[in-house]
Amino acid sequence: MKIKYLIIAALVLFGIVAVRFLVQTDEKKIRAQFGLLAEWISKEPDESPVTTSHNIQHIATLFADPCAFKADIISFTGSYTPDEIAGFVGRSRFSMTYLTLKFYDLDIIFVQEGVAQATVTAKLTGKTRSGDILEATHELKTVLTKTEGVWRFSQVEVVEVLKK
Amino acid sequence: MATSSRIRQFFFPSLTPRFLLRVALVAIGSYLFFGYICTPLRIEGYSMEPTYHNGGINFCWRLQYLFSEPQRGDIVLVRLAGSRVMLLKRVVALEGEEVAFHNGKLVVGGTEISEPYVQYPCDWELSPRQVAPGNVYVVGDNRSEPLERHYFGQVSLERIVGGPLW
Repeated sequence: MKIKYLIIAALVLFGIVAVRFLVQTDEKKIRAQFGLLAEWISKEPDESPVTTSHNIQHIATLFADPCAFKADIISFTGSYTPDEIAGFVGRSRFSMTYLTLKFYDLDIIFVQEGVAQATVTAKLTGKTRSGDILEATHELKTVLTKTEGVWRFSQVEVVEVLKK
Repeated sequence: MATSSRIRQFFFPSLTPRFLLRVALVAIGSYLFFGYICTPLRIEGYSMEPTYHNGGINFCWRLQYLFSEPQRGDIVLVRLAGSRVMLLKRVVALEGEEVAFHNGKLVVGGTEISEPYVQYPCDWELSPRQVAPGNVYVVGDNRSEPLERHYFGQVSLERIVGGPLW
């Protein structure tokens, strides 16, 4: 009798976990977009030209047209088209032998239907072709908008945590 | 015989309700202590050399500023979007104070401050600026790299999570 109840409890628990894992919520979709952004910006030391081309082309699909950037530390403030952003990323990747972008502490708030605000810590590490080590950690405040069922970055701001 | 039984009981205890309760309490206590009070951290980067080395292990003591505020010379942890990645810096000036760097020396309120922890050569020049209310000015101990490349400045006290345990 006890085993029967234990099996039922395990099945119910398994069902809850499976449903949570399989259901595609908007939060999961946004997390996936951040995952893709990190994957496509990062560059392996021995990256093939095919992978480079694939990553640069696909990065544009993550951004709304236009996307507002506020990043004074890299002189990239203004409104840009997805192609302009992809071009900037491509040039930056080209100057690096390897590049790793990781996101931490992603927090998502849905401010209204189809609009989400996400704050995250971005950690960028890499090495330039001239041998300089790049290490940058910044807080990003982003806004994503949902168009045609896809969440795209429409605003990206580098938060100035330390103000000189 | 009794000793052998005790050793076996220590390594392979019987799964009694009392034992399970003890395990649960230790697990919950450890989670709360190491998750919210004394969080383990690994130091990455060279901005606090030679005080803290790249790859070092430490803990963030989050109760440090529960009843007090950071003082000049304190080493603090500054949170970003969350506390999985934090900045490790030293407080060099408090709110309302005027801070500057001249010939690589820290100048607060017009007075040059002795900083024995800065061991590498520094030639920073930074014009005087006032620390806003509710902020402190933080800098790393390694000032050998150019001023433009070192991440420092004033930060809100609300972002200070605690200090390293040692």
